[in-house]
Amino acid sequence: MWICTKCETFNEETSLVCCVCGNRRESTDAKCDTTRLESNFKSSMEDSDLPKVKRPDVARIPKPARETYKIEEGQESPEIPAELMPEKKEETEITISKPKADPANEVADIGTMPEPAPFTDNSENPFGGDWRGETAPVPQGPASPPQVQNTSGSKAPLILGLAALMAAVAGIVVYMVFFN
Amino acid sequence: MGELSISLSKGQDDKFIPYNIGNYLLTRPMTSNKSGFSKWGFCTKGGKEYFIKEFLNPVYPLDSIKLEPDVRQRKIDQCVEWFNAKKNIYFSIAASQAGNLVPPLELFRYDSHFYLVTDKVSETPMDTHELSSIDMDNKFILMKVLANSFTKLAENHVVHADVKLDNLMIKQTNGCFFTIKVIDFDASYLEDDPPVGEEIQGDFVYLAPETFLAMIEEPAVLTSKVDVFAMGIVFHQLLCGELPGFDDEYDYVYEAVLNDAELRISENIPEEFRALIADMLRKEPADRFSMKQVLSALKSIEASKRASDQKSVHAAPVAVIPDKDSRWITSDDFD
Repeated sequence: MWICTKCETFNEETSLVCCVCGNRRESTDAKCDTTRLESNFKSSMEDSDLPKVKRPDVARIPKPARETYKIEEGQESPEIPAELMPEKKEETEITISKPKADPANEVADIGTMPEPAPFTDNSENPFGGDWRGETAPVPQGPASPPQVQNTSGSKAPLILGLAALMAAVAGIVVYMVFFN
Repeated sequence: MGELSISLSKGQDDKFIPYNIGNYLLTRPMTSNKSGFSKWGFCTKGGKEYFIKEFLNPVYPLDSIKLEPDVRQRKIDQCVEWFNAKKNIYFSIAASQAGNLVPPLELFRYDSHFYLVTDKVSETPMDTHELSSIDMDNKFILMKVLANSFTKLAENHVVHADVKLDNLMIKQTNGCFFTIKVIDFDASYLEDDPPVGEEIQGDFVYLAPETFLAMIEEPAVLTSKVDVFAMGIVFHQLLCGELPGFDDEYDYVYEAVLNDAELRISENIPEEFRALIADMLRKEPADRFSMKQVLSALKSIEASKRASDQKSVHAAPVAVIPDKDSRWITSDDFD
């Protein structure tokens, strides 16, 4: 057999042109050893036939040894050797001192503050026209919902704000724990 | 094997230390790029470079792994069954070699994994557009090489079962000609031992109608005609750079064919090839051309094209050039 230089097809020894592309055989065309074709494929299931050259350590990180402990019937926890148990640290009580109040940072009690004056706009109307000191009209909306009695006096808005802030923080923590 | 894998391994090469897998020295880190159930790379033996593939499944239970005896034996039996099936198919592929298959050279186990070694092909990377823009003479060679290679496989009852452009490597040969090498026989099977149901592999873009029926466990016979269908799609891409057209309600060619919907073979493809592709994409395997018929059809198309080219040379408008004696040359002067 010979190999066509144009399309690399194997051809019969007797043929002068390639059976696929029609290329004329040249004296330089390589010969093909047909006896190798079928016997060329080798297979080995036995690992022991092969030289034992291990891969370098960088390619393999050994797994740490694992021990398993069974829980016997009636036992609350498995009997794990003491040396494998985590060290117990003595509990120490930590007291956090109350920070000193800074009069500059003190927030006035919103409940004791005077009611604000009704809003009036006495500034110049930039678009011209006689529009001064008018109070904003009250929109005619649907009937207001029934008033809930404020049991905590005038501090309610502050507590509600704090609760909303805590809920938002809790939401972020839950998101980070479960979705990251 | 795309550019991505090359650029990936460049970065890893700095840290990579070559190591032995059996008798082969792995020279570059393996990658799983474009590879479903395996990793691949390049290795050397005796100064020659080879392609090596590591199968991710099955995994051989080494003695160092603690397993119950019956579990160990079951795993070993699975490995032996897989190995023998692969060995059979690889022997048949090696026997089908007509020059342009890239057949397996060695299948072996090393540690817990199985490896396959083949020759390394020096590929000339080309995308579909570049491929479709090569000249017609070279396209004829590529199509005939494919038809010849798959005729030999069919004679040995081998079904490649994953024919697609990714598994056909273009190689530039002497004198700026191109040939094409058939690679990746991972999905291959013998006609008398076809896979069933979920065992069947293949690319949906090139899937034959009967392969899909076999996948959903409907009655279907899988033969080498599966490869003819896929090759019909490959020829279409080779000739015009596109897949055959079909109604928007379908995603794949096989779906349209199974529903008897119209397949639109591009009008940019010469008429004689359109008829051939239509014969390769028939719904019923029995009505579909065999690879041998495809090869002889290609040869007759080429012969008639050559004849018509010669005729047109004879009928060329040389008659407008007057000779020295002011006589008009006609095509009769050449007969």
